[in-house]
Formats: sequence, structure tokens, C-alpha cells
Amino acid sequence: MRRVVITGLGPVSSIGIGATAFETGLREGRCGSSPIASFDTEGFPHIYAGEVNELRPAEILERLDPRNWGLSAVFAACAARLAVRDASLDLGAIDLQRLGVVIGTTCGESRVLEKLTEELRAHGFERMSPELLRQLATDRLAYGVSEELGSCGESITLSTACSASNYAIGYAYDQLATGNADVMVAGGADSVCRWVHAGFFRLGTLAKQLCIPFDRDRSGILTAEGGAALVLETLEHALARGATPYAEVLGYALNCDADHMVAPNATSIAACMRLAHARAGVSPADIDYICAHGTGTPTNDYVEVQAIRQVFGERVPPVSSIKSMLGHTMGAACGFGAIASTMAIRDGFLPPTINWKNEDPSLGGIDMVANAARTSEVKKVQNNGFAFGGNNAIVVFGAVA
Amino acid sequence: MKRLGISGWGVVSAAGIGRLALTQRTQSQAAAASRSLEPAGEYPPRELRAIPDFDVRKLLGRKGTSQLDRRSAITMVTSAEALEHSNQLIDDSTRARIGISLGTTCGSFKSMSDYTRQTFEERKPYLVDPGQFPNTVLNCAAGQTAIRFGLKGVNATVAGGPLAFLNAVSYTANQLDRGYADAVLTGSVEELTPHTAWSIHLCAGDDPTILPGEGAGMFMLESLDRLNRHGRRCYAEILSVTTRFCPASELEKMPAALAACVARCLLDANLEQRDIACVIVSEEKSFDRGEGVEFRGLEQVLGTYHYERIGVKPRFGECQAANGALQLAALLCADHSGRDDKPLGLLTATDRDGYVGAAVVRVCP
Repeated sequence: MRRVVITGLGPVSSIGIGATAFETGLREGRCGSSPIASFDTEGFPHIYAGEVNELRPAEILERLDPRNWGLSAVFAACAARLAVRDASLDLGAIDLQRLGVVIGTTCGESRVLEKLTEELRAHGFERMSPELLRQLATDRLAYGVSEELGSCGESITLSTACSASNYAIGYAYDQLATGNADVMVAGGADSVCRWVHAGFFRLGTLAKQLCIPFDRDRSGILTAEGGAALVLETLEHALARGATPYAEVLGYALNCDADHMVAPNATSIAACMRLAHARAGVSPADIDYICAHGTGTPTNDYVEVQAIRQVFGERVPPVSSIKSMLGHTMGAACGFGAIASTMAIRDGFLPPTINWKNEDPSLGGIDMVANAARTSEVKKVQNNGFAFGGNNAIVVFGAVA
Repeated sequence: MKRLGISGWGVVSAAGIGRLALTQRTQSQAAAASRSLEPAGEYPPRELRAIPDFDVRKLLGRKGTSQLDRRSAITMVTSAEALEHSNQLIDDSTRARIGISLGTTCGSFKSMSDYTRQTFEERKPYLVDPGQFPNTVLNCAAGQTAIRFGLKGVNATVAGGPLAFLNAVSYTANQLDRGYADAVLTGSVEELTPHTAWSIHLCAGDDPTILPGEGAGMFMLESLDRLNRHGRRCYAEILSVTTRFCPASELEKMPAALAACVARCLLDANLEQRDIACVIVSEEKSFDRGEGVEFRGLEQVLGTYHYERIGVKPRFGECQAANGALQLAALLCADHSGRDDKPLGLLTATDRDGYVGAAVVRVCP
């Protein structure tokens, strides 16, 4: 089996676009929450989200015409282009048939869906526009990336909700490890939308303005959006072209709670962690940092910490949630987690959990890297992802040995 | 990829509920039935290919079925048949390594759209029905099916429209090759609702032969070793699957790309062109006119070798993500008497965005 490394990072987020800006955002503990602009918030008590306000697709994209694609595909394509540039990957010098794309998502082209719904409400089904209908299919997210890069290998969109980017990274890792591909672009994308905002509010799990994971007074998520992409390649391929690997993918695991569509299950999540460790060839003691799923809901954070304790016992490494900064970017969340994990390993720091004020005693005293990033040697990171449908996916990254 | 055995399968379509219904209709060459769905007024002026008498509560009982949307219900019924057929033992010693890999177009257009409508039409925009929220996520069907049958292994929802089934199979092949799972219930699903029907109608232009349909096929895939070890019958083997993307600037290369996929599949399976007994394509009408990606692609790779084309669209309609699964179901239900012991079928698929793919299947009747 070939070793698989990360050589490029492409974040399109509310705290920064591009690897440098994103890393600065993480280190500074930048908060990406802002008043919602993408839909009419009249009548909603909570009106904040982690929207991407600064993106100018035309300045990033080289091939894709954003007018013909939904916003989530545009996020994915911009993220992919940024990742490829960050990797200094010359697409003209590689076998494009051995370049594959795999993108994760929760809602796919949700803005397109909203526009179509507005059309059918206003004028009936017969007046839905074919142009929008052609943009709706969820496979368009990976296709947008393939189109932007001109890749000719596989192009797959995995729609496994809020852990989808970890599924994508895992699949990319497998394709490279087995020799089916030389380079893979993996990540995720989603767009802020009205129905998801309403849905989480209705469940009582939407925060008012700030997402405060692990805090005693946490009240829920902030919905958020963006695109996260990583360039993965075999170590051999990276070294041959003179690229510097940032980190290595050591292994991953997936499982399903098969219990409840919405509520997470600690025992099942713990089982997923153990499986990920076994596949990555690590023990809990080897993990220097856990990039948490950390949505900021009372339930998730409690269950996640319980699961961590079941596996790590007394020796729990620092656990922080970048959702405190980004909000919950849905299908892109683990992709941003993977980017943050890679930066932590490469540059030796722990991203913070910001907005934290009050200890929650039920969490039993974890180190959530409260409020300020911390310099630290980071050799192995566990990136958590859980989702509706009990779709758990955990990836382990390590420094390149 | 290692060869995958199908140890059981289920199907639901306009031809009926279950393998037997499909086999009977196929072999009697009964004409496809046109069905309407209530309320008729919401559907476009086209014949529909709806599943006859589909009532999930009658089929699976009332418990755990009342909040399901149509695509989740179809998935669950089809999965129930596949699980029963495959004789898998599902208990605490096995369930952690038995999973689901399900292809979709965009989840449920209707569920997401209805939910969005509630945010506009209710007195307050947040007075949405919380019980319906899980239906708005694309992985709902796979998640609900896992809960019902206690499947705790990999749970994947793979997008892809006409290629969704081939993608789901590729995903499963990877999971099994890597040893992450022992058996994966693999398939794809599409529901017929005003949303999908109008979507198909509006994009079909002037072509009256495109009929909105629905259905699902679910296939229990496992390694041949495991299947044999447990004394399970193997109904078919999936020998290889390959998919490929053609950027818009190179759409004229799609036939060649498909030919390359087929060639790769044959190579991976150690086969020759002449070994293929029958072909099931996704774009039948243009194929029969001697046009389109699949006709030109297969011409390049299969040349003049004789093979039979098994048609599916007239019977099933246009089923988007479910097409691929129904192509395989049609292959398995076809009358193979007069062919080799274990005839080989080639499935191909193409979509308007530049994706092409193929799979080779050995039928074991």
C-alpha cells in the first residue's frame, strides 16, 4: 500500500479564503459569525450565520463559469483551485486520468433548491426553469471541481451529511493507497439556506449569535457555509515532483449508530474512534490533538466528550472546536477540520475554541484550548465527524515520518 | 477490484414490488403499465411509471414508517427484500461490518422543497415540522434503513444521477477490497413526486418517450469467499466497474471515454469483447437510432461482436438515480436460456454533465 500525504490546502470560509488567511484566522481566533444576507430573515428570532462574504469566484476560477453552476459547486471549485495552487501542482504535467475528485455535502445545491421552490410557489411547477433544474443534482459539486481542474478520473459527490468531508478524504486516501489514482482532490461544500436555519431553530439547537462549544451555556449551532479542499497524493508522487508534504493520512473509519436519525450515540462514536486508531496504527496515547465535531449543541458536545473518555480514559488530549469560529459548515465541516489538523501538524499550534466563558462541569474538565491558539508540537491528530443518520467518520493524520 | 458476489437482491419499480413481479412481467413481455399518482392534477401531462399500489405501511407495518418520505420508504421496502433473499445473519456479532451504499440524485427534492415552503407559508418561518427535518438530508434513506435493520457498518449515500448506481458499486468495492466491511447492501433509489416528474418533463423538451418513473434496486454485495464460506447462493458477480469524467471542453471525447471504461472493465475482469452476451445502456432511444455516447462508445470497443441489448426504459421509465440499479435488475430477470451457462452483461451509463461509466456482471442463473 502506498503512503498518502497532503500537499495542498484550499479553504473558502467565513474566517478566511485561501490557506494563509485561513491559518491567520485560526491563530487569531477570528469569529466568522455575521448577520445573514443570503435570505430574508424576517420573522426569525436568530439571524446570524457563518456566511462567506468575501468570495469573488471570477478572481479564483480559471475554467469554470460560475453563472452555470450552483453556489455549492462554486465553493467546491474555488476551494479546489486554491488547494491545487497551494500544492504548486502543475496540472499540465500530471496524468489527468489518474486525478480523481471526491466532495462531501449535506444539502448539495440548497440555494438552487430554494430558487426552484420560489418559482414553483409563485407560478406553479410548470414554470420551474430548466437551467436551474440542471444545476440541482448533487453530483454537480464534484463535477464543478472536475470541470475547474480539467480532471478525467473519478468524480464523486458523497452526501453523508455533516461528516461527508471525512468520507471524501477517506475514499481519496483509499484510491491513492491502492494505486487507483496518483492525485486526489477531496473535501466538501455547502451553502447557508433558509430551511436548514429554520430546521435547527425548530429543534432548539440554533444559537443566537455565537457558537460556544463546550461552554456551560452553549445553546446550539450557527449554520454556515463554504468549501474546503485538500490535495492528496501518494508520497512517491509528491517527492518525485519536489512537493513538500504537509502531513500524512494514517487511516480512517466509518460506522453507523443505527439508533436515531438525529441524536448521537456515544458508544457507537467511541467504537468509530477505536476503529480509526486501529486502522491508523495508533493508540489513544499517540493522539496529540482532537479536532472536535464540536457543534456547540448541549447534546453533541456532551456525547462527544463521553465517547472520547470511553476511549482515552483519563488521558484526554486537547480537544478544540473550530466550529466556534466557522459555525457549522455542514458537509464542508470535516474538510475544514482536516485543513486545520494539517496546519496544526505542519506549523505546531492548536486552534482554539473561542467564545468560551464558563466551564461545564458535566464535561469533566477537558482542555478545549480556550479562547487562544497555543503553540504545541503536534504529531498526530484525530479529526472527528458525526452526522444525522448516525453517519460517523473519523480520520487520523500524522506528521510525515 | 476483487469480484463481488450478489447473495440476494430486491427491486421495486413500475413493474411491481419484488423480484417475482419483475420477472413475471419481463418474461411475459407484458406491456408497461401507466399509472397515475394522486393528486393527478399536480403531475405534468406525461405518462408516469409509478410503482403500483405502493403503501409502505402495508408492506412493512406502521411502526417506524409514518414519517418516511417516499424515497426512504422505497429504499426500505427494497432493502427488506434484499436482506431476506441474502440470508445474512444480522446480529451483534456481524452488524458492525454490514453496511449500506446508496445512490441518489439529490435526496428528496420534494422533502427539501416542502420544508422550504413551510418556512414561507407558516405563520412564522421557523414553524416547520421537526419530524420532517431528517427527510431533508440526502442520507435520510440510508440512515433510516440502517436503523430499521440494525446495520452498523459503513453507511454511505453517493450522488450521481444516472451514474449513481455505478458510483455506489465503486464505493462498495472499495470498502470490501480494503476490508472495512463484510457485506454492503448496495443500490440506488428514486421517488416519483410532482417535483421529479416536472423536473424530468421540463428538461425532456419535445421527447414524448421520456416518462417519469421511480423505483429502487438493492443488492447485497460481499466477497465470493465469504459468500461461499457461508453457503450462500451467488446470483451474479460484479466483475469490474469504471467511471470517468469528460470536461465540457472535451465532450466530444465522451464516446472514447466510455469505450476506455469498457475496455478497462474487460481488462480488469480478464475478458474479451466477444465474451459480452448482452448490453444494457442508459440512453436507449439514441442508441437505437445509432447515435449518442453509448452507441458510438460501444461501437469503438465492441465493434461488430454480436450482443443483445436489453431495454429497460419503456418498462421502468426515466428513474434517474435508480436507472443503474434497475438496469442490473433487468439483466438478472432476463430470460438467459439459450445463452452460456453464466452469461456476461455490460451495463453502461452516461449523463449530460460529462460522466460515463461501465460495469461487467456475470449472471449465475
